[in-house]
Amino acid sequence: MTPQKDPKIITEQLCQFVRENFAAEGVVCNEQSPLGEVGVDSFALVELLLFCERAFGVRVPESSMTRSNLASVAALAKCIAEVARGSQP
Amino acid sequence: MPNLPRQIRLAAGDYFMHGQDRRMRRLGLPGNVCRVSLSLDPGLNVPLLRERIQQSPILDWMAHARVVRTFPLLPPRWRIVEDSSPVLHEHHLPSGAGAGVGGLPPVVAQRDLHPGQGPAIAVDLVHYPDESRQLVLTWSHTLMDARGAEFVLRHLNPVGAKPGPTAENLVNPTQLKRSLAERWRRLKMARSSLKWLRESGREPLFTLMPALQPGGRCSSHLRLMPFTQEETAAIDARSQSFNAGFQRSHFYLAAALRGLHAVAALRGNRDGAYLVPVPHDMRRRGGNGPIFSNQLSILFYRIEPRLAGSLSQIVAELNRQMMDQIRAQFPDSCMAALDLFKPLPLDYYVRHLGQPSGGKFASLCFSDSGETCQGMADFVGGPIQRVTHLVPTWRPPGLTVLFWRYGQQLSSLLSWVDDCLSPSEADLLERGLRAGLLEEAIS
Repeated sequence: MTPQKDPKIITEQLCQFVRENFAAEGVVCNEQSPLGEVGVDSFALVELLLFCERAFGVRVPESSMTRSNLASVAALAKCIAEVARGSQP
Repeated sequence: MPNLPRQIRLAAGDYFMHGQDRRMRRLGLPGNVCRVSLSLDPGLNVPLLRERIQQSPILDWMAHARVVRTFPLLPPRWRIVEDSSPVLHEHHLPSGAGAGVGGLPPVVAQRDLHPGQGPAIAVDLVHYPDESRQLVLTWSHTLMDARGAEFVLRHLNPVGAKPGPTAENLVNPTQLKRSLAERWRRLKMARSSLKWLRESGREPLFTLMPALQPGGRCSSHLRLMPFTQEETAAIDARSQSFNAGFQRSHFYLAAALRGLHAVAALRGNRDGAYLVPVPHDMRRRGGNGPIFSNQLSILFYRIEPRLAGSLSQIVAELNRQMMDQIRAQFPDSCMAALDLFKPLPLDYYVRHLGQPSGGKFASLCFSDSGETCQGMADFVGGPIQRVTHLVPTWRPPGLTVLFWRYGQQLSSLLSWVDDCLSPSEADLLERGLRAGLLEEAIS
């Protein structure tokens, strides 16, 4: 599987995953949404990281789970894209 | 107002909690009853609170719900009964009275609720001479979990522009009806959890319980550990440095396990692993409800004693095990398995649950309720000074560690059964927990 490196595509799919799995009805999830406010707690974050492995072919290391990378959906997407570029042979 | 159900099946988590309730009462302990207390400065609009409670369809429904089993070997159900079920109880304390747990009079601190025999929920309002008050919501754990109780508080006291939960949010629709296809899917899913449970519960396991069953009645003890805002900020910073910034619960649990490990070492434990079931709220976030029922699943952590001396190793191991269990969809399959066993008679069900761990069940129970009453500065006009959770201790394992936050302050509660932990061991555990959270260097 070729790792996904486009942060825009990653953002869209992350938002869709959050809406379908964690956020209650009516909760808005867009690229600027803080993860905590759209229902991503520690349990959901692990689900999100496993989704990244399945959907984007990217394994995000624990050391990348910093406060700034988890500030919003877009920040996490950017981090995933960077990890994908770094893992490119 | 929606048409609320007259009968509804118990969720898997409800029957599990009901089993714990039975087990505790057999040992002379209080039932599986939880409390959350709001300490309020003067200003509470008492008539308005009375009116909201009297007119609440949620509280009315919950106060009339009883657990019944219509026929042997059929799953138990909640049924609405017609008897009168008062919910609000008011108490006026003269100065200096009621110096029980958290300053509550015994009638409130020890209020017993039996979901088969009477209301499974009660609200107590304690008036003090200086016009400060404590509002105490007490509920049977068979009825709902702590998040459900939080929704009840928000229903009575909506915060900001957001509408509070209403009767529409009371019940999870999947609890009302589940399709045949869905039941079949869950049946298949249930099988995979058994392997996990057997694997994590294998001997040797460390337990605080004495080898012999208690001859007389047991009693439970509580110790509150409030942290200041400065301490809470320091704990947050330390959780980041232990690579648990987004998983602070793992840092808290690691500190609790370090404390327990010190107690176990004094008892000569060398090989016994620490088994910890951790509940997880399965509701969707950012919205209201479902309020009623235990919407929980469980993750099981097993920490070997060779790792339990180091906070960073415990945190890393917890992170790894959490990832593995979610990858294997253990939380879903575990609840599916609990669902499957609901037709079993309660005593047999309780014994059956303990089988994978040879009856030990766990080394300690741990829960992190997270942010409680978020954004709620006052309750019906009374400024909130403090929020306190009081939870029962299950035996086994005989020890519960609970964390929660209100505003910028973290609090913890140690709760234990007298024949499982001595007062000096409780002191050692508390010191170890504090040291883990605040002082100990990264190892």
